Amino acid sequence: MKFFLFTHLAADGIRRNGALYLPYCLMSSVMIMMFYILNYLQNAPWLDSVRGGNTIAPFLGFGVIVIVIFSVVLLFYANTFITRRRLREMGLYHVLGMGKADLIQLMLWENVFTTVASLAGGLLLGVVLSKAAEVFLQRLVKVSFDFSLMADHKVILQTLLVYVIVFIVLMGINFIRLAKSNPMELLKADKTGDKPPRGNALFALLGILILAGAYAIAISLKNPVDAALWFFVAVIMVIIATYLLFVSGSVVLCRILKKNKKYYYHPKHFVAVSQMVYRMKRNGAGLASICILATMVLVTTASTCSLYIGEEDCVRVQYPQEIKITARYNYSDYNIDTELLHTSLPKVREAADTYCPERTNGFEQFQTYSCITDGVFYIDSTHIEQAPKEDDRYLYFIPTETYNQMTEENRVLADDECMVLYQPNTGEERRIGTAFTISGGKPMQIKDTLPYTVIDKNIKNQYDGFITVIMVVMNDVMDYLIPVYEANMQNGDNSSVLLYSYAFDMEGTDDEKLAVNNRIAQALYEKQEMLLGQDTDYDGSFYYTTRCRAEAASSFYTDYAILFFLGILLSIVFLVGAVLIIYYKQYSEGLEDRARFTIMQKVGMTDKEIRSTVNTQVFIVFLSPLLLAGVHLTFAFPFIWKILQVFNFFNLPLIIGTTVISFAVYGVFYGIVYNMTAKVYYHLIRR
Amino acid sequence: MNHLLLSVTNLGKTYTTHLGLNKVEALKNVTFSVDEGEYVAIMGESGSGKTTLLNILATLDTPTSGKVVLRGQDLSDIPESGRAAFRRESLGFVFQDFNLLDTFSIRDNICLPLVFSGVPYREMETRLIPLSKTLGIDTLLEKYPYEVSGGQKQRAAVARALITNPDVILADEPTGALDSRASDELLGLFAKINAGDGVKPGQTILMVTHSVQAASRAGRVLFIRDGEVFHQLYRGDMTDAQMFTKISDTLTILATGGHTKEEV
Repeated sequence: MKFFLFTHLAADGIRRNGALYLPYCLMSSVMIMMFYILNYLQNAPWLDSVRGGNTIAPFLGFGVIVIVIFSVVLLFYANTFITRRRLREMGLYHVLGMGKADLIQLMLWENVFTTVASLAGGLLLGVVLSKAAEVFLQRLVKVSFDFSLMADHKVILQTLLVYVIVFIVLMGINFIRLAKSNPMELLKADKTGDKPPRGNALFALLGILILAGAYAIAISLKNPVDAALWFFVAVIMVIIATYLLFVSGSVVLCRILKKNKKYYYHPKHFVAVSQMVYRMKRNGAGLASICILATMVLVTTASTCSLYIGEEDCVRVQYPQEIKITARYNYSDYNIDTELLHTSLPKVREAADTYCPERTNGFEQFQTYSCITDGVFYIDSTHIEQAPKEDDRYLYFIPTETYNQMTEENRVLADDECMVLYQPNTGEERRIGTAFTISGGKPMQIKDTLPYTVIDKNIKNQYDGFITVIMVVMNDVMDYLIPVYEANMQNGDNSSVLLYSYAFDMEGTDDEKLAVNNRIAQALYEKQEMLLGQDTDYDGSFYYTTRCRAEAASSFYTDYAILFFLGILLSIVFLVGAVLIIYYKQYSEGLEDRARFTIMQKVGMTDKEIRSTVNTQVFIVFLSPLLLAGVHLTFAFPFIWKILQVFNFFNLPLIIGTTVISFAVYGVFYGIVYNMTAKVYYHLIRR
Repeated sequence: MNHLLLSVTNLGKTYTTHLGLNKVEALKNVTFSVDEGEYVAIMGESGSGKTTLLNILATLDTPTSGKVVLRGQDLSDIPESGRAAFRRESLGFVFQDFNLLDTFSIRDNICLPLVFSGVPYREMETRLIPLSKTLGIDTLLEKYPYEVSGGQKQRAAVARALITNPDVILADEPTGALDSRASDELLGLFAKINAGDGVKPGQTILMVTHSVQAASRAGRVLFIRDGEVFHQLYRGDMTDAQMFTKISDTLTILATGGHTKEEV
């Protein structure tokens, strides 16, 4: 008998508080749905057959972790919000004669109902939408596989396991709250006045300082890879500062405004300012969360969207030519004589001649690592280790023929002449002098000194990095370099590196290019075996590799597509979080403000004044997180841009465009949501 | 000095339920007038129409018949948009549950109507200081409603009502939420502001109340029953105690359903 009473009371309580419970259940359903979808896709069998598909699963796995953490935080927030209000009603039941044990039973049923509803809704949505997500992902990756319309029961069980645990923990927290609470006090809790929040000026100041510091760090970071940790520090600082500013800063600002009598005692500001103090104290944390979520959404969508759209550019930067053959010599581990250079280097071009005679844009290049000391380049480890790091150089040798081809010029150099191409903005051109000298090689007269961007506008992007690049153009690089390496070996230092590459373009379909690439790779591999022969010491110190743009492109595509996919999914999750916070904020404010506006109407505030006051407050509260998110984004932008450059993304207009569009789309969406929740607010204060 | 301030003629108010099936007559035919400087109490049981009458006087509600004229102005002529300003400038309200805003200090609560009227801050101060001294709350101005007692809250509410120099104070059960000592203090205060200080004329007060104690301090008592003015009682030369007895007697007759003629 009692069982039915409790289930009935619980169901009734949920129905009456639909305005609280419905958004809660919807939000948890979306989280559960996302969890299911990501897990489902992670286990999708077709992933294995996609080129580059092996990177998808870890990415999705990362997404799952983010969703679990985020949903737990959000569920905890929403649960606290609801429980605080429900405890009041429980207080009434307590007065009417229900014991604590009965109340716990009542709460148990309420929680069971919402949990079941959330899980059922989430799994249903997940099973249905996972197919849509699968199609969408396949479209992004540009593949098409059949898939079954079956739900994955393993993933369902996994989802149930994770979220049942989460809900049980939340229920436990609710029970503790209920047990600790004094229901009689809760009944009256509404009536007692509240101290006007003083706002901690120190915290507000700290917020400004931390934010300024974080911005300063973010824009001063030079090298994105080395500075990743610092950027992370800056992100944490921004999060802390955002909370400080919204929770304390806003209250302090209101108090300063209040002190200005002329400003404060004005019909337009009077009510708005004095209520804002309370409002900010209560909802500052919520607004800060919205601001941070907005920033996260914007950064995620803008960058992943840019990468996806600009994928082709990225590939082109990393793979300027269709096929690139590399012969790599690493002398440190393997005592090799220069004979090998003589025999193995020409094999590269021979292979290209054999398997792709109709090629274009042949680009030949020798690359080594060196240091510059007193104007002389050294390639041996002894000198390199002694030299300070800023003297290290990437040294590239380019045949005159290749240079002319790249620049469409017709330079003629004598055999003892060279041209030096320097990295712009390094001041390198002033260090070199009139002759190029390398230890062990004959000096070459420098005929011309040019920035290396002359060979390719985009080339700077490929080489821009930590270590300065110098390019030397001369007629016969091999003839010049072999004595240099011989001299080094005679000195007993054989730790130098040499990378020889030959890259070219060809016409044809992706499959044809891949076929050529594979044939060359096969042929060179056989040559490599033959050249090294019975040398059992071989440990990879010399080998050929080939890279094909078509092959890389598809795996790039997969990577960026999955990033984009994940970016969209996580953005939806963050948006749902932001919407829920906004909704509950409006709901609680509507309840609190109702009595106030009734009084103001009685003492002579016109409907218009009430509406304009409400609008002012709503507008400020609406705009502030979005504006601060915009500022955060602006300061994060230089770093995001640098990070994208690491991904070989160099399309500045595209990233600016996607950022601005993301911001606009988010703003519009946020506006619609705010408008809808504002209706809830108006409805509450007018009731 | 007997200038007519407020006249209520044949006032009627009928409430219709949503579907128009049931009609409730809250006020049938109410007629009375108030002179400037009068202190009038309106008594009646719950459901007699007191609150409806007060809401109509406050322009929070509109009558279905009859009219209300305040200082020559027919309230039904005031457009919807002008009503709030009218309330703010011509009327002062004192409510049973104070209706102070918990987010404002006492000072800001009192100044609220002036702020809405766009009165400059300096002017607010010059009005606030003497008024708060008269009402004995000059030391509480920076406090918040939750920090002061019920009696102090009600005095702050009175200050808020008086600060606009209204034509009439409308008080709705002003002692309803106060203990007897605070009630006495408040009624004393009403008597004081009604008497005036010799410089300013006395403040007109219209008070709806249940309390015989409160009504016995007024200059005239109107009894309302079933939406009509049932009886009027003038103080004349009576003391508060005599007035108290008279009111009690009248209420007994009212409760037992007798008929009384108007006493002059």
